[in-house]
Amino acid sequence: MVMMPKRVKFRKSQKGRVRGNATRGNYVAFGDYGLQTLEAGRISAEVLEAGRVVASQAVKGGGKLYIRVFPHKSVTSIPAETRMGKGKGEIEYWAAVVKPGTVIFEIAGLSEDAARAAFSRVAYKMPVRCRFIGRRPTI
Amino acid sequence: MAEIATISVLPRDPQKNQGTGSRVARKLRAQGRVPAIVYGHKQDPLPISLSRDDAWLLLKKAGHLANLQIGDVNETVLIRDLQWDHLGKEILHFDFSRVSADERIDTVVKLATFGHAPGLAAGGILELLMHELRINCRAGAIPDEVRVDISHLALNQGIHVRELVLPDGVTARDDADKLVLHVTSRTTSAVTPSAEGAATSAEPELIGKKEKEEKDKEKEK
Repeated sequence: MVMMPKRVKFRKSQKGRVRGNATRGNYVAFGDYGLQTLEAGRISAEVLEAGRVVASQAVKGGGKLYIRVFPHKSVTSIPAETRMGKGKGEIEYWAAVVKPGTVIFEIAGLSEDAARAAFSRVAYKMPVRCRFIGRRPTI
Repeated sequence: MAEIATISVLPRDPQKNQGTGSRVARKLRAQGRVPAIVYGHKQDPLPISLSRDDAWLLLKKAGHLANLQIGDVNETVLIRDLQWDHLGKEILHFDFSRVSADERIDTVVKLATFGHAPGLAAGGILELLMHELRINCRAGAIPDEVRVDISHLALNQGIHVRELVLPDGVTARDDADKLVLHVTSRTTSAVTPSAEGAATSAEPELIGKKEKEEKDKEKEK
């Protein structure tokens, strides 16, 4: 099931720009290992779902998967060969806006090797460069 | 208890704006040094810097305490806070708090499990809800980790903070009723901690749309 918000105040949103780095949601908070973005961009709900399917195959043996982002932003488009004007296009898909440092997925209950293997398959599907990270040291 | 690392640090240049500020910090980082501050014990805060290698050494030794050699002065400090860059690759800043070995302090320690839970053999998975525990103890006796025995856990059983076996002189600061870990049955569904859940319909509901329609209907009547 592709994710999208249940209720919104406005259906269509402006394009916006992704500036700066992630200052929150940029560390592993729930699981043991995570997949962190190194670039800014949009991750569509379909791609998130594809990543979830791949990662959940890895955690079937025992473990837990956390999705740390949610597709809040609606992206619209107008059909091809349409004349200018006539208003904003219809919603094409929903996307999660990510900044460099955002943790997209987390896994708990797996060994590091298994988590690394799972996330390498997930990262292949992502439209932004990603890296594998662990928990920060406790001080 | 972890080994206490001794590192030599440099006080920042007092001629230039007391050696503080983002520009000074940026310059220090470019030179391979990590800006830090030492405060506490009702003394003036002292801006310092330490080498990047020493900063990583402090973390790798996993101790909470450190001995700082600031010129001729030797101070025992607690690592109070740590700032990372957005990717968590680089250390940006340390906060050190002056402590004495007998002083009681609040800090955070790792939780580690040991033993084989019967619930895991029965098809459950171990879910850690807390990875760290806030404790109060003597500065000289901070445990490396708090070990949690899970060898008695059956399926759908858990351990609360109040049930943890803590070393002598250590008290938990977290809520006693907080669940530390539990053994649950396997589910393959993913959890979205930040999300309000997926919508079931093809399009999300518009907030305030119903009220507007009702108002319009009333006007028509």
